[in-house]
Amino acid sequence: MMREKLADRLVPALLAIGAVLTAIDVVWAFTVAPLVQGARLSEPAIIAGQVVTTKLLFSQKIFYLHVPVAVASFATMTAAAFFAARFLITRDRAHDRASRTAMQVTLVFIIATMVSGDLWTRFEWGVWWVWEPRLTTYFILMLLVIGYFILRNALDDPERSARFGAVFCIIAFIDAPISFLITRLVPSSVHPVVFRTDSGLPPAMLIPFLLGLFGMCMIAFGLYRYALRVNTAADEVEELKERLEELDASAQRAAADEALERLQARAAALVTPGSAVPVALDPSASDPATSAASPVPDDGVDVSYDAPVSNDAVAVGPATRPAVAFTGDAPLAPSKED
Amino acid sequence: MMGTHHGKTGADRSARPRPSAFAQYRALLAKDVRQELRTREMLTSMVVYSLLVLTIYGAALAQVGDKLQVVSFSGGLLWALIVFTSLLGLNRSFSHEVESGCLEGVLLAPVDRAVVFLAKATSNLLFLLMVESVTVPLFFVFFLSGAELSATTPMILLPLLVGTVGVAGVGTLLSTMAIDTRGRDVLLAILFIPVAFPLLYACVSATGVALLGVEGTFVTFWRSLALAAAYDVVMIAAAWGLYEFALDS
Repeated sequence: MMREKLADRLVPALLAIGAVLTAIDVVWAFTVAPLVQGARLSEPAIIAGQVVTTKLLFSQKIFYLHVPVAVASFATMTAAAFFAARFLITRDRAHDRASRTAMQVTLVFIIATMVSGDLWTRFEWGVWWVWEPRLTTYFILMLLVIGYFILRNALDDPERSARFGAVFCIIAFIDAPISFLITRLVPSSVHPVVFRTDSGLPPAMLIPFLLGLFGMCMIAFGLYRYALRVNTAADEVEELKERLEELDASAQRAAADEALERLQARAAALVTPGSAVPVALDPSASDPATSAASPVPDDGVDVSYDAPVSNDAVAVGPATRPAVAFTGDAPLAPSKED
Repeated sequence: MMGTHHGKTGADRSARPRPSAFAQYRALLAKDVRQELRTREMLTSMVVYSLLVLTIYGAALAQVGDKLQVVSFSGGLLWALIVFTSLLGLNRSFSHEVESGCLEGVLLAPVDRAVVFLAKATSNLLFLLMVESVTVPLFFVFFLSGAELSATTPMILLPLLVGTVGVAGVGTLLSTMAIDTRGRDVLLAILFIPVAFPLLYACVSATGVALLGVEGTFVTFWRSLALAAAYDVVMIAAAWGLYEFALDS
């Protein structure tokens, strides 16, 4: 509990540091970092009709933002799958909430990656889209995350929504490592392998990249914590609303039961004395009216429901009928609820 | 259903110990097969649907004169046909279980959920293979009858088998989750197509290589097949492990 609080207090600081780091990354990328000759290909390659090693690639600047965002999306997706597995094991709703929140953040970062990546594709490779292995698997990842939310929205029962969502999250996560590793598995991929020990990035490029990487991960974590707090509050509100509705329903039922009992008592009182019938038919007789009116303010809950029933009961007259008519509206065995 | 399959009489059945997992599996599978053979609900709709897809292909390919061109992308067409047909079948496979309350009965019985999954996946696999045995020859008749087929064409049976196993495995899990959701049919497609994509990709590549039969490209064939098989293993293991959470207990 204490740790949670500490993490929440650190969130604004984390977000600020992350934003600063990312800003430094972007500024550095456009000022200090050298222009790249063909994204460090080991041999000259012809891409979109041009020999890339001899061309200074301005669009390569996207690299400093695109890769950190993509890595952050993989990280949040891993967290989502982790919490999904923990939810399935423990059935603790808090883990489900964490998993769902991480998926939301994942979707944001995936879309950011897709947008920045598509710019890269357009200006570096000359096409808007190509069914290249990394792009394909990442596109699939996006569809899976979108499918996750569609699945959850299609289920009304929150428990099932959580359970099926967790199952699908784990199934969807299988694509994440595939997408991450595909540039190594398929050597023909145009996508460069970024994470390797011999990447040969000069410090002027490596430092801003790493700054962006850590900055983006901090932003992802900060967003996750914020979203988690929002979702927690939303869930609590939902729960309170349900409880309120329950309370309201039971209060209404109690009021109805009370009215029923009162009517029955009055009916019994009317039947037993010989003078009962004339009293009931006479509207000026104040005895039943006052006895019906006086408990109403005590209920406090449902005056409008109570009043018409008692009026109706007085108007109908014959002693036993009102009780029967009333039980038609109320639950059949209401007193058991109390 | 289970009673009729094993156990001679009712008294005999009450005395004997719990049937083995394999007996349970066999009973569930027999139930599915018998139900399908009696109603032919899934098979008929799948075959008719695949015929309709073939008709659409006919319109789509009407302007393609060169048969060689058709051969070069017929692997993809074939798999598109299989995926759409399987989607339809997977949707149907659970609808009658739910409509007649059969699934509840199965879940009430003390049967391991993994066995339920295996039986359902196997029956789905059987039905998909049955439908493919009709539609794949039809595909060849309609679109490749004039083309010179390479000698390696029969090798497409391998990716067909591996691919269908994966489709049945993943599809069973996903269609179980999609049974009573709003917009079930669309939801299954939304969940199934991205999940099955790597398998589809590998199978199309292997099928294409086998159909073209160019010397020296068979490294790709075996690699794609290995990829598809690896996908099958991973996905079926995951689906098996997760199936108990996908069922309402």
